[in-house]
Amino acid sequence: MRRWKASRIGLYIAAIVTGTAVVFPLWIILILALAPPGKTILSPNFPLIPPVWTLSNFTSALNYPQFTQAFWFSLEIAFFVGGLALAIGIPTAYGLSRLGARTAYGITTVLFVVNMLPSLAIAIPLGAIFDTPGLYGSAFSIGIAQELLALPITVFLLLGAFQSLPRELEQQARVDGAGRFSAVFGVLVPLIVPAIVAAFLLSWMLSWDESTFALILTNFNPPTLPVLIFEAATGRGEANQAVAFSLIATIPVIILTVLLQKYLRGEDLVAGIRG
Amino acid sequence: MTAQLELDRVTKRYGDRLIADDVSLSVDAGEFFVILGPSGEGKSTFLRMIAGIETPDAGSIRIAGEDVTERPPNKRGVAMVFQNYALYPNMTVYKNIGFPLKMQFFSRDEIDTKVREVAKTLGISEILQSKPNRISGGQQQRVALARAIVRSPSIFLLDEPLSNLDARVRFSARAELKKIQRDLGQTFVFVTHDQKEAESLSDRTGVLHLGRFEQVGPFHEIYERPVSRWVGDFVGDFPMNFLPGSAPGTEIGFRTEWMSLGEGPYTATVEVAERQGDLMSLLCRSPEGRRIFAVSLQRHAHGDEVRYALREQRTYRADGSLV
Repeated sequence: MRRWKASRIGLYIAAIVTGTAVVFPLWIILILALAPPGKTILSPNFPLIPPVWTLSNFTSALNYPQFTQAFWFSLEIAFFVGGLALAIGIPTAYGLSRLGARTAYGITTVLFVVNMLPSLAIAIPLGAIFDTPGLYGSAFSIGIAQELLALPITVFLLLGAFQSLPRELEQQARVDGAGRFSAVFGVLVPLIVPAIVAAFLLSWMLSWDESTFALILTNFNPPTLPVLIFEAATGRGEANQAVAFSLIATIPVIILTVLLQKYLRGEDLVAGIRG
Repeated sequence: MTAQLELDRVTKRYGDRLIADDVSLSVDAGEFFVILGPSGEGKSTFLRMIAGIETPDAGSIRIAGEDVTERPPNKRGVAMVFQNYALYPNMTVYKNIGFPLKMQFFSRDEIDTKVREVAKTLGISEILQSKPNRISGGQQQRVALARAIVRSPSIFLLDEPLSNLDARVRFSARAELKKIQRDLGQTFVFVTHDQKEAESLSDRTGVLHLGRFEQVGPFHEIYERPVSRWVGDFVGDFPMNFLPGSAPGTEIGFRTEWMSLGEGPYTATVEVAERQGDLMSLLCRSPEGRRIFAVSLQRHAHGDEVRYALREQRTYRADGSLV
């Protein structure tokens, strides 16, 4: 009885500590976003419960000169990065999965080298490469740079998914009359939809969040949303507005995740394969 | 009879393992051919080479007289049932069976007719809308078979399709398979390590050992006259019994059925006696210390001495070949 009580208390403490660690920063963000700047960031003592609530941060954020352009621009890049990651990642991962596991993971590790380097070390030379009119600051050039980070993760995820499928499925499809293309895209790909959706979401969010490449490669015409937030928070010190931007920026992520969530579940992945 | 399938001096290695060692084989149209061998002998590799999933290192494969050695699997017109059935898990049974037809661009109506027809033949009409993970192992096996039959292939390749079924279903599935093959009149190549299956299904059996067909022929012939000591030992519910022969190095081999227990020049001591219905299976030891299997109608117990005579026997040379 005593032990049960002790473990109960421990559980409550753990829950409170974890809950606070997660909820407290969110609460600060909410205060910053929903209270006037004079009462929070510009006031000498930061209130835990603000005296006045307001939506003015949001209205001024939405009316901010480049906000709408930056929002659509970021959205465009994110879908470009996510789509390209799949367009290159699916064939790559399939090809790698047909090599031995050692070779495949060796090559995948090499892909990750770019991720190991500091982003700045890559962004600056890339900036030099993209330094032509029409390319500099374009969605394409920023997207391509971000793809360097998104692609290795995509390939890694999809490689694991392809490898988890029994080889017999593809072979069966081939014997059943499918060419290589329809065996891969008609039989294997539908089976790894959860991994594909996860890879797309990760690439998409990686791009949506990414600021180093975007900052180096942008010509501010328009900037991406993270760059705009960065500029608002540091360049002009308008933290409340930056927080409002950030909150708005989470909305597409939530919408996308909710929309794609049902595809993240793989129900019958290995059914019908005995052995 | 025309040869439907010919392997011509086929060699295949995996690393330093020799799976097929200069193998030639001819299977007639309409024949039920069983490749029998112990697990791990690479039996499936033969099917995979015939299907086109693997390519031989040397030699050629002909189907209906045409060289298909370099042809991809989808251009060979053979059907294959894998050991794990490899049903497409995300498709319904209906879609699984219809898949090969879809790949051949049959119209929806034709697919529908054919799928329903074959499903009726195999008694799986009730489960056409189920996913493979919702049906029993026996049903999965039928679905895999239906998917093979539906496209009327020239050759059926079956890789231990009965081994995942439990013992009770296996017998009826075996009988049913034989009936299907007879009705279709098509060529079947069937891989198994289970000699019961070879015995009851095959027109001819090929016993595979170390990358070669050690013996090819009707099963009863292989059973009665194993061409080597190894085949005699491998084939049969009980391995062949061996005793030293009269000439140095030779051995005589005999089946349990060739022994008359009771009287005779040979003796053995019972080590294990096991009741199997009305019969007793005996594991004995000969005076030379050889292992002797026997079947008896009488009761025996551990330690009993049995005498026996031989109605028939084979003689094997020191190198294991039949005299």
